[in-house]
Amino acid sequence: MNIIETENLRKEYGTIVALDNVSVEIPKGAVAFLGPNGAGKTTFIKIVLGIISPTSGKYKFLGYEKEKTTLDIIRKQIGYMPEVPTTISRVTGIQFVRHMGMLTGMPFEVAMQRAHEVLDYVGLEDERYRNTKHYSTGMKQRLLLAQALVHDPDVIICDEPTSGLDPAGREDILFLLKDLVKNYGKSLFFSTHILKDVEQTCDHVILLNKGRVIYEGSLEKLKEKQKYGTQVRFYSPEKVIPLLKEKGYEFQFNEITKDIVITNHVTLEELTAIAIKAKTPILLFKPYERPFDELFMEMVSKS
Amino acid sequence: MKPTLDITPRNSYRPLEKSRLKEQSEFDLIITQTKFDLKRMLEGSWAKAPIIFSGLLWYVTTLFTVSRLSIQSILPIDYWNTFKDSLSLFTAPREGAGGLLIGIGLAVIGSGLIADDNASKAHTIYATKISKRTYILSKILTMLAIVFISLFLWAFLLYFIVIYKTGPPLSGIIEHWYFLTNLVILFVVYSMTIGGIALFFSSITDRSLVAGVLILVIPLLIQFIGTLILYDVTGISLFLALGPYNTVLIVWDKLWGGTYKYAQYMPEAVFSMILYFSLGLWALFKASNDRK
Ligand SMILES: Nc1ncnc2c1ncn2[C@@H]1O[C@H](COP(=O)(O)OP(=O)(O)O)[C@@H](O)[C@H]1O
Ligand SMILES: [Mg+2]
Repeated sequence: MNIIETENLRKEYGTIVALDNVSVEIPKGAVAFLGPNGAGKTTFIKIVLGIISPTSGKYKFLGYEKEKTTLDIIRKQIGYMPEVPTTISRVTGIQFVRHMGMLTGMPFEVAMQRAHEVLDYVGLEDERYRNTKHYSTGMKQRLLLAQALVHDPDVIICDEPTSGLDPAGREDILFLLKDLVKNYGKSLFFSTHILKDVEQTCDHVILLNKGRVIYEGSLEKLKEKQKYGTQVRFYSPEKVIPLLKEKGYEFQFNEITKDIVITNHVTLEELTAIAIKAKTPILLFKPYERPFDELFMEMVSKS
Repeated sequence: MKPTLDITPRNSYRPLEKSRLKEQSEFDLIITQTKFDLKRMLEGSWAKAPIIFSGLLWYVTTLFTVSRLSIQSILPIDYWNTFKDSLSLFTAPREGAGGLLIGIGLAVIGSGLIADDNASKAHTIYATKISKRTYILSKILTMLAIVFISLFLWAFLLYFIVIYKTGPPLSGIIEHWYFLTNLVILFVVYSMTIGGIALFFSSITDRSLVAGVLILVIPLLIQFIGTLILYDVTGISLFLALGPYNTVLIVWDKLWGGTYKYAQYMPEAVFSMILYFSLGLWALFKASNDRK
């Protein structure tokens, strides 16, 4: 069973189309929701959580149609970690998490114990009695994760859990999320605009841009798309370039590395012929893998 | 040699025994949320200084009241008169500082009730835990509790300092159902007018300090403009009744027959009561729609 299924989900804010007929299936496991700022990630998450309603379209959460029971289901089975700086004012970390526990049905003592457990887990041992107002962004992210975990939900939904963090802080949060998926069988759906986050944690990716899904599938397959043409290096590239143009190859020449990336199909034989004609040896010949960022930018700009 | 890289051992995650969760009715949730908010309001760091300040003010005015009443109490004061005088002290600022103090209490304790949630986007968090209705009901209940606290802390102080001294036993009050019912009505009036105003201003801003100042200043301004300018010039009694403290005074007069004979304006007072409470509810409803 999928965690979330949507069908032509659309959300308009006046003239802004935040979600443009999004139809996706989000399977169990670790799924990343990748997209630049303003792509519509938060809007999507809030709609499927029933926080805001879509302009049109349908969605199913854990197989249930949206209906009156939604809040019940969400309270029991889903941990939601909203975007920073969402919090509750004038409370300490422990009070905040404990209260969230109580709202999901724990008696005071149970909620208290549980709050300590999850705060330990996210690494807020020493700060739990401090007012959350004085937390750093990293601590706030941990606190938000802790409150999402307080009732031990099966599905964790995080909205930009790594935003505003330095690399070390990001590693920490991703480590925790990965741990929850790998060792405790949780399903994770999290949004991010950082590609590295995805590579580190997920096997399934949904790419969103301007409210549209531009890729949906495994990370493996997305990596296939990284393979892009052939990278070649000649001893004297300036001699080869006119010949390549003449033969109608499409290519990019990198002025700094002096590498040529040929995007149409090319065999070693053909290149050897060119090299012989230009009287310059081939130094390198290999399939080219674009950096992930480059692929991402291209997919975004094409959409 | 083994690498000496020191990796701090992490606490491992502990699954929760689901049997420890219990079904909760909406009523349970409202109570849980109300307790949480009350505690948050009373012990929040922002509230501490103003609470101490208003506590001092309370003390000073109580002393003032005592000195005033002790002059009166040279004469033999009977049971009802004691109550009339001492309780009427908190019906209007011009009669005593009581009404104003309840306003201060509400401004200090209640200003952040919704403004805080607006500021910290807490609506989003609550959205996945409690329904909008639960949220709204709990906020109303919290506001009632704050009025109750403000009102009865004052009455309690009066009892010990004024009434206790002059004689009537506590048991005597409790036996008088009529008196108690009236007190409950007074509580409702306070809650709807001053409480409604507090709900309104706390809901429309995301800065509790601004809310607090507005809760205190705007009713006084309405009171002042309504009574001293509009009512005096036009003679339209609604202007008088719209002053929130006058509203309370009118009901008070109706109940106990006070000195100002405002009882005749009861319909206007009920109108203004409903008006302020509706405004409060409307703003609260609007704020709770901010679940985005
Ligand atoms: N409440 C709102 N009112 C108007 N426009 C909004 C609102 N919320 C989001 N938007 C717009 O919808 C688009 C998607 O926003 P969002 O879902 O927050 O993107 P993301 O989370 O991917 O950064 C943006 O263009 C944003 O400006
Ligand atoms: Mg967002």
